[in-house]
Amino acid sequence: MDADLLANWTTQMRKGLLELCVLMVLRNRRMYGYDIAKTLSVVDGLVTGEGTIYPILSRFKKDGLVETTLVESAEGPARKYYQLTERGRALLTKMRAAWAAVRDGIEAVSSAEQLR
Amino acid sequence: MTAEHTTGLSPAAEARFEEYLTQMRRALLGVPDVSAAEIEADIREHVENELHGAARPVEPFVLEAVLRRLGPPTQWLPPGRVPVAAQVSAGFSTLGQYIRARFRAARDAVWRGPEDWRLAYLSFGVFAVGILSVPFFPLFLVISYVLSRAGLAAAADKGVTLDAGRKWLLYPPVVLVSLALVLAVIAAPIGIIGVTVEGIEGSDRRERWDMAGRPTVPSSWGRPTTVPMADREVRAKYPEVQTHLDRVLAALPGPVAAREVVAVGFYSTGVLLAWWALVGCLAGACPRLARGLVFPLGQSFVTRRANWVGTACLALLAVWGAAAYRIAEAAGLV
Repeated sequence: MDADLLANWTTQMRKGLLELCVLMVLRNRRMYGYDIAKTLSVVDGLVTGEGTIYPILSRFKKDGLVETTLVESAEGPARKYYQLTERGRALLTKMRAAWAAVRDGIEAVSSAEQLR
Repeated sequence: MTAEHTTGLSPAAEARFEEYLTQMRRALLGVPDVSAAEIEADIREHVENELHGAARPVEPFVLEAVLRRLGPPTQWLPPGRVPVAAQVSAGFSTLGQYIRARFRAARDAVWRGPEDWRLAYLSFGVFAVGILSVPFFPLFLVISYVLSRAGLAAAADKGVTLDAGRKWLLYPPVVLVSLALVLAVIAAPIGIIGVTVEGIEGSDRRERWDMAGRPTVPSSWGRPTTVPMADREVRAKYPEVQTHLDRVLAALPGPVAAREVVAVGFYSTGVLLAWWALVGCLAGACPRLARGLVFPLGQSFVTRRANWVGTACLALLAVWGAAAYRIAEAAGLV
């Protein structure tokens, strides 16, 4: 029962944070989908499968948060690079502010509990 | 991206990869939030990159490790989505459970009651049997109608407000019969008009033929016999003959060519006014009977408007009657 609750809670938390992380890694540069997957898969507990990011990227593209560019590659077929749009950048700013507020709030609650 | 980009797979590995992609496509079936084709292209690129330095041909166990790191195909669904196949399966399962539960409830109600539920299920059962045995449908419809009315009365006696389920059981025969009655009430005057106009025309033809001295013409069958002259020929040959209808038409206003149309319109108006005056007054005088006959249709109309329709049509009928008298007077009929 507890394991189910924990698994469900972890899944819900991870989904939201993974979306934030995908936008964050694209903040300063365009990236190849495979590189995004590899970059985020090393973050412990964030990605359950490397493929998890692809539906997120597809949805972001449909929502106009990212755009793609095909670039020829010497190592094989043309690569699809993702980059943030202005809309995606604006949303990332808001998401980071919201995340910072939540994180600070949790820290404050946690600190207060430790002092009690 | 297409399959040729994932080069160097052994046939077994290729088959495994296609199976993985098929599962992914199935999971994304009917999900509008993402593009399945785009995700498939991304997966192919990903696998291509992972296998970049692998020995060729790539064996299934090497590919399997890559696919394991990618994660199960079901993860491609957006958060909170359930695959369509799972939804359909759950839907059928729920439907099956629902049908079984309703069947048990129907059996219990028919055997043990209460009466209002027993009648509801019996009515629906008879109605369903009627639909399945088409030639006998009218008979089954009448029986289920009687059962439904009894069920409605039993529920009303108990003070039960019918829920959607009970309405589905009780209403089909009642609505069908009520609808037929309403349509009959609407169509009846049109039928009356059609039949009487036809009768007047026939009567006029006979009267003209009589007044012309019953002229005959040789039969076109070639036998030595005669038949009555056609009305069109009688009109052409005996223009001096004036029937009652001719005198009425002559008394009507408007161009001669349009007087028959005017006459039919005037007559139809009178029939419609008389019919709706009768229906309105009867429904106003016996509202419970009228509401019962057309239940559950037009309940508020019968209560509020029946008298109004009856009275208005009576008033207009009086005006129509006066106009008809003036025409009859001008035609020398009164």
